[in-house]
Amino acid sequence: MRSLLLAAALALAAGPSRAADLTIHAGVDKTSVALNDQIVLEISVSGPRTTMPEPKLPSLPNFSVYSSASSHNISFVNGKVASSIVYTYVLVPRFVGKAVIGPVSVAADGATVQTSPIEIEVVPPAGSRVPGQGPASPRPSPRGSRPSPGAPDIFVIADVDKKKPFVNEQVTLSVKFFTSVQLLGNPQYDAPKIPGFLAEDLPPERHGTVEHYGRSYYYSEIKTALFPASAGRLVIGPATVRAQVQKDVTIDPYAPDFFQRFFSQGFVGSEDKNLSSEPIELRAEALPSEGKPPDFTGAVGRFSVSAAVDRLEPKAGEAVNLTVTVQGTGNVKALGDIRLPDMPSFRVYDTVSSMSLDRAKDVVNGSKVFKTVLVPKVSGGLTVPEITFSYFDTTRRQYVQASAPAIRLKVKEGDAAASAGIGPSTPSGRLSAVSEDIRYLKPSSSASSATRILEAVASGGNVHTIPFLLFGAILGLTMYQEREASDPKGRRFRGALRAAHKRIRQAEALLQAGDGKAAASMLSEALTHYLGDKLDVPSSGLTVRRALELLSARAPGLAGRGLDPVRQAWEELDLMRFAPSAAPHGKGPDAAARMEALLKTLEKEILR
Amino acid sequence: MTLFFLPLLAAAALAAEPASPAAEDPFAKAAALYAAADYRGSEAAYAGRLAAEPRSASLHYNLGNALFKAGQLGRAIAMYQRAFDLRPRDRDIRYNLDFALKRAGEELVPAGVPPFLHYLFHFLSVQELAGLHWLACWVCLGLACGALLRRSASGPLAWWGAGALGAWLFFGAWWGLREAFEPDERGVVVKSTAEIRSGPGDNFSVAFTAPEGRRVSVLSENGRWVEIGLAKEGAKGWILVESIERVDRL
Repeated sequence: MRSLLLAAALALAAGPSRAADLTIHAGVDKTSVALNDQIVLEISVSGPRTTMPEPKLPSLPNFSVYSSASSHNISFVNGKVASSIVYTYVLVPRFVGKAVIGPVSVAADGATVQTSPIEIEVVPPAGSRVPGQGPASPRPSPRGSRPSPGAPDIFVIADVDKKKPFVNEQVTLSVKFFTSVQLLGNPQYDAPKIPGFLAEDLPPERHGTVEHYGRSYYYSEIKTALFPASAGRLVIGPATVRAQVQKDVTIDPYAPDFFQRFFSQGFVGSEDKNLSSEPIELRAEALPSEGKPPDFTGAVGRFSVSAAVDRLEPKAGEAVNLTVTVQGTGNVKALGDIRLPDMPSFRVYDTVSSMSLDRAKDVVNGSKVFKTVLVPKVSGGLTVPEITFSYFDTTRRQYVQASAPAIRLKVKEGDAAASAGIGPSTPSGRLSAVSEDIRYLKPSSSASSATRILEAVASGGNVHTIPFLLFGAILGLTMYQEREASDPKGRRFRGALRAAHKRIRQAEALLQAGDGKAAASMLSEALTHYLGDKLDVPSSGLTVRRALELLSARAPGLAGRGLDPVRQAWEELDLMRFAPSAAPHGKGPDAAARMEALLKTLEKEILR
Repeated sequence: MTLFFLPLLAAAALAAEPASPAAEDPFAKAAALYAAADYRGSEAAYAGRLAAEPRSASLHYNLGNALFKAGQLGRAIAMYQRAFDLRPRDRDIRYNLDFALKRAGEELVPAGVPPFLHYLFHFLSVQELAGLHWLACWVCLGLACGALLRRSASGPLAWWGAGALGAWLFFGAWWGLREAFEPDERGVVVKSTAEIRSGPGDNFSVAFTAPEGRRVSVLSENGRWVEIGLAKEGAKGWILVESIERVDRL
C-alpha cells in the first residue's frame, strides 16, 4: 500500500529530468502530511556509469531532514553498464501550511540536472490544538498528562536487542525520545558514535504514546541495524537529543519589567534541554573456526542461492548469461563474491554483481545478483556444476552450505567447436587444447599373466627359503664328498668301526641261521678289516703276528699281555672257521657280542 | 627340484583369473552411473566391488575418477596412488594421478627429477620387482645346485648362472631402493585445509595446515590421532584419523 502511494506520489510530484547521460527522479510518499507525521523523500539518480554523483538537496527550512538510507544497483546487460542509486530521506514538517521541496540537483561532467519542486501541505494533527504562526509544535503533548513527582518530563533511552552477537550479525539499536511536555520546535537528534560497526538505517521513524513512571509520554523512536565488524568489546556511544521545552513563568503584571518580559518571551518561557542516553557495551563473538567451509567469505545470517542461465541450448561460441542470486537475511552489502566452480569447457568472463536491500520488520535482508557470461568452447552436453555458497547461521550456530543445482546445457555445434576440434580444419594441423580433465574409466581388466605370476612369486613368503636350504645341503654334501676323496687313509680310519659293526650284524644273522662257520668267517673278516683300516695296512694279507706288532708299536703300553684279547679272538675265530669242534665256545653264539666288546676296547684304548 | 615350486606359484597365480562376465555386471553398472554423471552412485558401486578385487588397478582408478568428479580430491588421489602402485606403467593412471596431484599443489614427477628417470624408476611395481628378485634368486640357486651336483660349472651353465646372479643382484638393489624411497605406510589428506597439531589431542596447538590431497608419510598412531610427516617441508605433526586416508602398500 505504501509503495503504491509512493508510486502515485512520484508520478504526480516530479517527473524525471535528463541531462547528459544522467536521469534524476524525486518523489514523496504523500503530498499532504499532518504536523505530527513524516514524509519519505526518495531521490534516484541513474545512468550508464558505475559511479554516481551525490544529489544536492535544496534548503528545507520547513522540515527537519533525516538521512535514512541509500542503495546502489549496478547491472551489466549486453556489455553495457547501467547503475542507479536511490537516496531516502525522512522529512518531519515543522509548520502548518504550504511547504515546498525545492529542486534537487545533481551535477556531472559540467552539466547539472534537477527535479521539479514538490508542494507539500502540512495540516494540523488530528485532535490537537495548534498555535497559529508561532513556534511550531510538531509533537502533541499527551492529553491529560500531569507530571508525577520524581518523573522526568523528557528523557532518551537507547537499547539493543542483543548484547553478545556474532561478528557481522545484526544488532538492532533503538533510540527512543520520550516527552511529556510541550516542545518548542523540533528536537535535534545526534546519532550515537558506533566505532567498530557497519550501520544500516531502519526507517521510518516511529511515534506513539506510552505510560512511564505513571504518566503518559509521547515518544519518537529511531532504529538502526548494526553489524559488528570484529570480535571483542564494542561500545555504542550516547545518543543525544537537544530540545527546547516550554517553561512556565509566573508573570507579575505589576512588576516593573512586565512589558519587557511579555514582549520578549510571551507568556511562556523556554528551556533548552540536552539529553543523552547511556553508552551500551557489547561483546561480539568471533565465528568458530571449526567446520568453516573453504568457500566461506564472511556471510552471516540465513541465505539461499539459485542459479539460472538465459538459454539452455546455445551454440558453441555463443554467450550464455549465468545469473547466480544469493538472497536472504543478513548484511547483504558485506557479501563477498561467489566462487564459481571450475568450468573448463567454458570460457568464463568476469562477474558483475548488483544488490538490492530491504528492511522489512527491522531486519536487513535482500539479494545480491552475480552475472557472468559463459561461452561454451565445445558442443555436446555441458554442465554448469553445482554452485555453493557458505554462510554462518547464527540460529543454528553452525556453518551452512547452500547450493544451486547443476545446470545441464545442450550445446549445438558452432564455429568455436570447429576451431577447437581436431582435424584438417585445425589451423596448422595441430591439436588445440580445449579443456583439461581426467581420463575416462577403464574396463574391468586384470593385470597381465606375467604380472600376476610375479606378484604370486613375490607373495611366496617362507617358500623362498627352500632354494637356500637346498643349495646349502648340496654344497655341504659336495664338500663332504670332496674331503673324503682327498683323504683315503683317514676315510679308512674313520669308517673302520662302522664297517666292522656292519659285518658283525651280518655275522649275527648267520649265527641265528645256524651257519656258525660263515659267521666266524664274517667276524674274522670284521676284525682283520678293522685292524687293516685302523693301521692303514692291507687287510687281505694281515696275520695275527703282524697285527700285534703294529698294535704294540701304536700302543707300547699294551705290548705283551695287553694284546692277548686280540690274539685270543683271532685264534678262536680261526678255530671256529676251520675246526669248529675244537673251538672253546663251540659255534660261539656270543662270538658276535665278544667281538663287539673287543672292538670297543680297541677303539677306546688303542685306535682312536 | 629347485624349480619345482615356481610352476606351482605360477599356476596359483594364473588360477586367479578375472571374474566371469556375469560377475562384471556391477562394474558395468558403476560405469553407467558414471556416464550419467551420478558420481556418488558410481563411487558406491565401485567401492562395493573393491572388496572382492582389492588388487585391481582398474577398479582403484575408476573409483578415483568417481571420487574426483564428486569433488573428493583427497580420496581420489588416494585411489589413483593405489592404482599407480599396482600398475605404474599405465599411462591413464599416471595422467590422472598427476592431474589430481596438480590440483593439490603437487606433481607426480618431483621438481628437478628428469621425467624419463622417474618413469624408469617406477617402470615396475614393487610387487613385480620383488617377484623378479625372487625368481632370479630361485634360478641362480637352482643352477648353482646343478653345477655342484655335476661338479662342473663351465659352459652355458656358467653363463646362465652368472646372468641369473646379476639379475638377482640388480632387481634386489632396485627393490631395495624403491622400499627405501617409498615408505610402506603412507596417507593422503582428505579434509580441506586439515589442521596438523603438535601433539595427539585438541589441547595441542595447530602447528600447520595441509591442503586436501597432500600425500604424507604415516609415522605412528595414537588413538584417534595419526602422526604424519611431510618430507618436502621436513615437518611432522598429528592429524585426526578421519582427516587422512591410508594408502598403505597393498
